Amino acid sequence: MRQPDIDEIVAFLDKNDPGQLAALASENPQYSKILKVGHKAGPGSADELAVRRVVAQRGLKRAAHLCEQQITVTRSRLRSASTAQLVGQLAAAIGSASVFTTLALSFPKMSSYVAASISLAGALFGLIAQHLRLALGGGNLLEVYKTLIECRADAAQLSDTLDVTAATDSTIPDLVQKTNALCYRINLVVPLA
Amino acid sequence: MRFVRIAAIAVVVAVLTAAGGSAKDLICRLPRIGGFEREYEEAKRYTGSNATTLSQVRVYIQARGDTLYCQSNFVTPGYDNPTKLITSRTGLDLPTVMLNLVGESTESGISEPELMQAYPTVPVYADQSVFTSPKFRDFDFGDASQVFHIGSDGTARKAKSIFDGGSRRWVIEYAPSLFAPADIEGIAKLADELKARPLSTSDLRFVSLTKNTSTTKKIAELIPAENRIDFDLSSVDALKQRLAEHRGKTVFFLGHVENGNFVTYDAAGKEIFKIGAKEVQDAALECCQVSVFALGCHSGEATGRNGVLEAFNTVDAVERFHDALGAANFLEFLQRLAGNGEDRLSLIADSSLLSDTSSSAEFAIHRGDLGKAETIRDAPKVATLYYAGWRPAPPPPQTTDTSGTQGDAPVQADTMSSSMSGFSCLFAVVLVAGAVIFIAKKVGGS
Repeated sequence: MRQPDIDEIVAFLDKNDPGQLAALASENPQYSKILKVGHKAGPGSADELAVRRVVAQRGLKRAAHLCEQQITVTRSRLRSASTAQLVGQLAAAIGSASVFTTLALSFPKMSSYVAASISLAGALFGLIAQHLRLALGGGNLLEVYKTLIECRADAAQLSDTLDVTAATDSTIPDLVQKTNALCYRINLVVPLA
Repeated sequence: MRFVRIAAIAVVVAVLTAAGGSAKDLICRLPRIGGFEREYEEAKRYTGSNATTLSQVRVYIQARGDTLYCQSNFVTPGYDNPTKLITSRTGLDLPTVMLNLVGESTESGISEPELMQAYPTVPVYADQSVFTSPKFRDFDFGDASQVFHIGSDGTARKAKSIFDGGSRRWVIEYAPSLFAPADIEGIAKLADELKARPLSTSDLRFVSLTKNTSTTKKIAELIPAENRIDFDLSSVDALKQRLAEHRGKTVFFLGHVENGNFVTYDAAGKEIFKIGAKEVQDAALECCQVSVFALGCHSGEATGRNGVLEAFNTVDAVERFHDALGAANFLEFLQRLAGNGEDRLSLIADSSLLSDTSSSAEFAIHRGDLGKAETIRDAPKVATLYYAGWRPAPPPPQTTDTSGTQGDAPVQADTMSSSMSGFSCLFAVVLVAGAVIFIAKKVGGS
């Protein structure tokens, strides 16, 4: 019978909590093949489901924690980006203000230096803001942030549901598969955060 | 059961002995059987010096037309020569033959239970003709564990019987980790023919049909960009278009095979791409003219005589492929794919490899050392390597040009080593990952 995939959960743990994955492998030596990174689709024995459920539960707990961490980091970067953008826009506005035209009549040299420097600073802060909003690899950090927020919520919900659902419940395979899909999303975005 | 067979043998012995000069059924303890002098000399090469105890017995078997020739080195007490026999009977088994060669217990002093207990360890040298003969290919070797296949080069290679779904298959290890069915003619030259097929790293391409993030990462780490074909799993047409851009290359596919299809699932378990393995091979041969291997892990599949008991891990597959990339020829490629140690694989070539006019060949990939396996469950099949461009496709029937004989000619070494432009294959799998270093070094050094 086809078992729910856990390959992305295993990949997630391998990268973010290898100790946990090693512990799972140690606790379930007879299932070492499904606890190895890589995809191994296909039929599996019914007793594998219990192991897959445990892997999903531990993966979810780690996922919720990691999402929380990454959300903090990402939020900080986004705030810095907003600040940098604001400073840049202020500098650009000041640098182009007509007051420098007036000052130039009395202090032509100095006023031109100051105006140019402020404009340059504005441009630089704009670039910094742009850089801070970029995810690693060139994506949009805001999208990464939104995904992390969703993943955190989904992880908490799935974790709670799995914890209270009986091991023999018919919804377990679906919950494990959803956990796998969740970890896939995290595996894609976390390297970008 | 054994008793019935032994009783039958006793009758056979009596009948054959009584028949005396019958050309088709004869037991002989004279120096040799008239007309079978060549077989006698051939047998002597393998059975060695005469023996008087069971522990020293060796048996030689050869098929010639409608006749099975058997000879041992055992000299039955009271006679001067080892026993030889010829028979046209089918359905014989090794215990029957040995009982006839050794002689009845009143003569040989060896009881039936003793013989039955000893025969599994007796070395049996079976000429290739026994395995290929339409009449005797079903000869039952019973529980014999020391069967040697004598190829056309005279080399005795260990033959391995594998129980597979209730039936028994014989395979020969023609090179380390590489096996072929014993009924393929030309096993002796198979290794040389595979060696004559060159592989060039710059001509290899790799296509992944999996979404697994670990596998994707491993491919990026190990497979140089110039050896990869990026495919977004959007459509079959898009895949064919990408293949067409790599004309003349050898393309390896990594993906799961289910019921003859490469199927890609996303992380939620939803099918997002599907293409028939045959369709990919056809596209390779007819449309794109690329060489494509299809090495598929068979998940959820229960097909074929080889059975499919396990799937292959995709990251393992990438590492295997990477290891094999540095091979100079196809023999080395297969051996590198097989690997060594605990993770060793065994590759069994399909019988179409040498014996038919099919343009494709197939290698069943088994986990473990098949040479040590008792049943197929000990070395389960984990993947298949399809080779779509094994030989040029037969010419279409309406063609009037009779100059080409590729479609009809049996596979010969020179056919195999012919133009590599026809070296089109599709490799669909679940295995690969560790070899990029070699290529990276090579590329970096060039």
